[in-house]
Amino acid sequence: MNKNKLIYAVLVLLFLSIAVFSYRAYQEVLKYAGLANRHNSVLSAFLNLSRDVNNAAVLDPRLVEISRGEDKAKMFYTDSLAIFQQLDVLQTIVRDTENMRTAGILIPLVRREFAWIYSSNVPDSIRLRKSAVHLANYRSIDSLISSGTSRTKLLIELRKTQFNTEIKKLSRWVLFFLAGSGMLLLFTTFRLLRQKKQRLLKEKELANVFHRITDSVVSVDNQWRYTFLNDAALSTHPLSLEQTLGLVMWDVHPAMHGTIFYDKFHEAMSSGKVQEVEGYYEPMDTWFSVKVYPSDDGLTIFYKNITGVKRAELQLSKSLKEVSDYKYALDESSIMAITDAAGLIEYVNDNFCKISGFSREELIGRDHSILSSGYHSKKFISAIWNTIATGKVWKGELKNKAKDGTVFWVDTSIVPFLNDAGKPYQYVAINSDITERKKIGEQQELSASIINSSDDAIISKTLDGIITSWNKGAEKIFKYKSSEIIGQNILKLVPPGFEEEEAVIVGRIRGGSIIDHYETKRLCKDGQLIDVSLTISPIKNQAGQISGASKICRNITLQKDAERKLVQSEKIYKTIASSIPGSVICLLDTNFNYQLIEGDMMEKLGFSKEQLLGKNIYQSLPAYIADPLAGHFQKVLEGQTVTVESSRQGYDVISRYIPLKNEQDAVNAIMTVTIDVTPLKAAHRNISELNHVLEKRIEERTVELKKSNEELEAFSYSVSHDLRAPLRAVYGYANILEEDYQDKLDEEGKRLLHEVQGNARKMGMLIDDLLSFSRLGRKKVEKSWIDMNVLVADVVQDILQHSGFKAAINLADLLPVKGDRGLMQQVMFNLLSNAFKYSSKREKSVISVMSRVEKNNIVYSVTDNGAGFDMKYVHKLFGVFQRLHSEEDFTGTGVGLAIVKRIIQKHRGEVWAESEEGVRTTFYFSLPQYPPLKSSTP
Amino acid sequence: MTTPEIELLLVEDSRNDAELTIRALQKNKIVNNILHLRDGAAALDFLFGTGEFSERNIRQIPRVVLLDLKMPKVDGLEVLRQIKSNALTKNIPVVVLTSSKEDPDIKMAYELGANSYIVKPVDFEGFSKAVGELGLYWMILNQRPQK
Repeated sequence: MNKNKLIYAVLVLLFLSIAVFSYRAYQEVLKYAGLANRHNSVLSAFLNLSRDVNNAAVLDPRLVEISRGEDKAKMFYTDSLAIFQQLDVLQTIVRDTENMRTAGILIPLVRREFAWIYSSNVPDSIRLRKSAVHLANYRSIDSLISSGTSRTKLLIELRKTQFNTEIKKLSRWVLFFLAGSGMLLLFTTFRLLRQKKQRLLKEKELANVFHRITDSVVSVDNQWRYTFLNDAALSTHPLSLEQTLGLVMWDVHPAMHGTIFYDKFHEAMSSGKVQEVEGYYEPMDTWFSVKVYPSDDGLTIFYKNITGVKRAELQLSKSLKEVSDYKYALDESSIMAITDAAGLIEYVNDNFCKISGFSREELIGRDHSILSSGYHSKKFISAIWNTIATGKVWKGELKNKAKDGTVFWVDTSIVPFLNDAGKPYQYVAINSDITERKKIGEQQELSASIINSSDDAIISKTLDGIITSWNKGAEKIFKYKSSEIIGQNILKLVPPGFEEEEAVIVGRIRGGSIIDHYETKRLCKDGQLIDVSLTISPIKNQAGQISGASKICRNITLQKDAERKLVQSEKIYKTIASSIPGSVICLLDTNFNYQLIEGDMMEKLGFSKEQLLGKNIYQSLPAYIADPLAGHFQKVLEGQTVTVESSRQGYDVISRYIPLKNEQDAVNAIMTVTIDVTPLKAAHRNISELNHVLEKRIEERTVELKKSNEELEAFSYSVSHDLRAPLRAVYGYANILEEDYQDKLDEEGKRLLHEVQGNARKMGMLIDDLLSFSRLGRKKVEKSWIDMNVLVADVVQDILQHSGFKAAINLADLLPVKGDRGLMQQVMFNLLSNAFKYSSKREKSVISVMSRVEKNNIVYSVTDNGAGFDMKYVHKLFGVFQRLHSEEDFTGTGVGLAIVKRIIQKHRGEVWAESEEGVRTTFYFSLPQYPPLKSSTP
Repeated sequence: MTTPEIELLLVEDSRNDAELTIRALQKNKIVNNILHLRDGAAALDFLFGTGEFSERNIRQIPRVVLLDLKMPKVDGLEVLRQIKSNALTKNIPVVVLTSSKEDPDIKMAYELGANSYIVKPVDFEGFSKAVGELGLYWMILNQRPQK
């Protein structure tokens, strides 16, 4: 809108300015037009004057000359009056300064001259030549007129030019004006057209909206004539749209007169205020909700059918009333509580307060645990919650505790109230007091549960033998389900041949007596015959008459079986006891009376079974036998078993006195078992004697061995000292000879001397090896865990340090072993020394040491690529002083491998070798594998 | 009676061994005054100024004793025991001579306080070298504490 105003303002301003400029241009044109007119008048005045003057040219010499002729006087015509008039005109209208000055000189001059002419007789004067002066005047008049004329002409030209300019200006402005007016006209027209279009569009849209909305919409003008009805309105309208438009509302709906709608519509029309009304329109049996919006030219009425809502409202209020009635009734009759979703009490009725003993204030905001009796399990309570939290109704019986501690039972329904999401927002618990019923019920339950849980069959029957109740125990024992046996005769359970017995029982019951623990047999459904113990008592009706019997029936089949088995096993034991040769088994009671004697030994010892049975042991046996038993029996009575060896009547016997205990773990009998061990004893004695001889022999041998060991030791000692001393001397002196008498010996002498030295050295080595070999025999093996990796590395380093050998050595990760560290070092030293020695002639000697586990043994191997040996002689390899190579090829004493073998044997291992001559030789030794030490395994 | 100070006492029953030992010592130029005694009794007499050596100034003690273990009469271990249990002589370094390094007496000798041992090997070079090294060690490096 602002934009439009601005445009309008600019346009109007433009238009105004154009008008102003046009007006001013027009003023200029008028001015110059006026000026031009005046100048034309002045010019014509000058020209008239000039004509008149020239006509009256009495002063013109040429005319004068001519007039001197004949009759020429008449030629002069002088209208002085006209000239004077012209002079007045000129004087009035001249404005130009220069012309005014010209006129100022000219007018008096002309007046004077013509006043002269007028007063004189000009021809005469001319003839008389008295006019010279006048002629000059005439001439100056003529020149003045000429100058005025030319001046005026000049002015006219000037004004004309100015006029033209202004005219041009004016036409331009007029053009602008026309253009501006055109534009304004166009713009306004365009806007008007557009606004109209938009208004039409809006109207159409509004109509559409009105048509679409479900409310009925009707518009009337201020004459109550219909101008609009939407689709909804038409649907209940008696006429079509075309027929309706233009009709007066009251003509269409005459029945509306006098209704609330009629009043409200008129009020809206007159007040111009919106009206709203709900009302019942009888002719249509409909409730309407109406809104009336007044407009400039009428009313727009919105209305809808609210009959359904109204009816529902009525129904609802009726229902609410009913509900509140129910609630009242419920409140009065039951115990009620309402909790929120979390279980906190929001409402309790008076009955609830009464039964619980709590006031309403004490209860509200608490949960139901305030009433907890502790009777129900947590599981039970959480099951309730699980039920109601999922929106289901829970029904059951709850045991609660009142404020004063008394317990009450309620029959409870908890109804969850669900919100729109289906979640409970409230729980209503409706309870009824069932404490009394419960008390009776509990007792009944107790007896029922006793009956039901009893293993005994509990049966009731009429006096005619018809079964009226049948418990689980009965089902278990007789295999009949209660459903199939109730109503049947009890004789069904009585085995053939026992029918009379039942008759006797019934007879006694009729007499009012009780049958207690009567043992008999009964028949089961599956045909099995069982032993039972019956206790039967009469049932009296309310009148005190005997109407039936209750029967407790216990299955004693197992018990009976056990008894039978016991008798049988006793027989078996007796048979066993009596048939063991050379034994007697007796049973004594705690007063030491013989209860049982079985076995043939008693007779052998000189006592008869009959003589002793039932008698006291101390009174029936001789004192020398009985007295020592007292101490043993004392121990037996304390619960110990006593074994005694003794010799009686030439028999060696072993007696065992054993306490027999009852179920209470108290000794209630003594069992004595006596066995004849005479042959065993004899054999034992023989063995002892043999052992003794053997021990003696071993002792002798040991002493001998010790002695020989000592001798051997002494021998070794002397060998090591005494045998070596002379050898040392031989070598030493040979050395001195070599050092000090070098120059006195010839070559042969020197060679011989070297031989002496060499042999002495070799002898020394032999002695050393022999000694260490013999010492091995006596050496104790002290085992410990050995890290073979470390050991082998040490040995290799030792060998390399003390010899000139070189070799490529492959050491695998070797397994640890349990053995004597020193001895294992010796083994490895010997094997590796050999490997170095025998491979030393190779271009590149290669030695590998490896280990593996084989059948509970650890096998180590030392391999070289040296000379090796012929497998033919492998059996000689480990013998003392056995050599498979000559001294010239490889030096050595032949003891090293013997030592290895001895050490390995002492470790309970084995040693062996494989060789491919000149290619590969491997020495193996195996040692027993011990379970590795957990912490100290290297 | 004044005797030249004995620097090294060699107690050795074997004449040959003694000769070879002395030769080795001299060859290594370790010591000048060596006294060789043939048995343990004589050694004890010398050290404690008894018997044959009753005139000797027992304060002049040798700087080292080389002691053979296997000797007639009083053996090397007894001599060692007495040397080490007498305040006067217990500081004398004693080097035990033996024929075998496996000799159980070596252990015994160490227990009695022997300072070292030399195995008398068959080959003379080794022996000479060992004697030389040990002698040098005890004579020069291990100075006897001054009174």
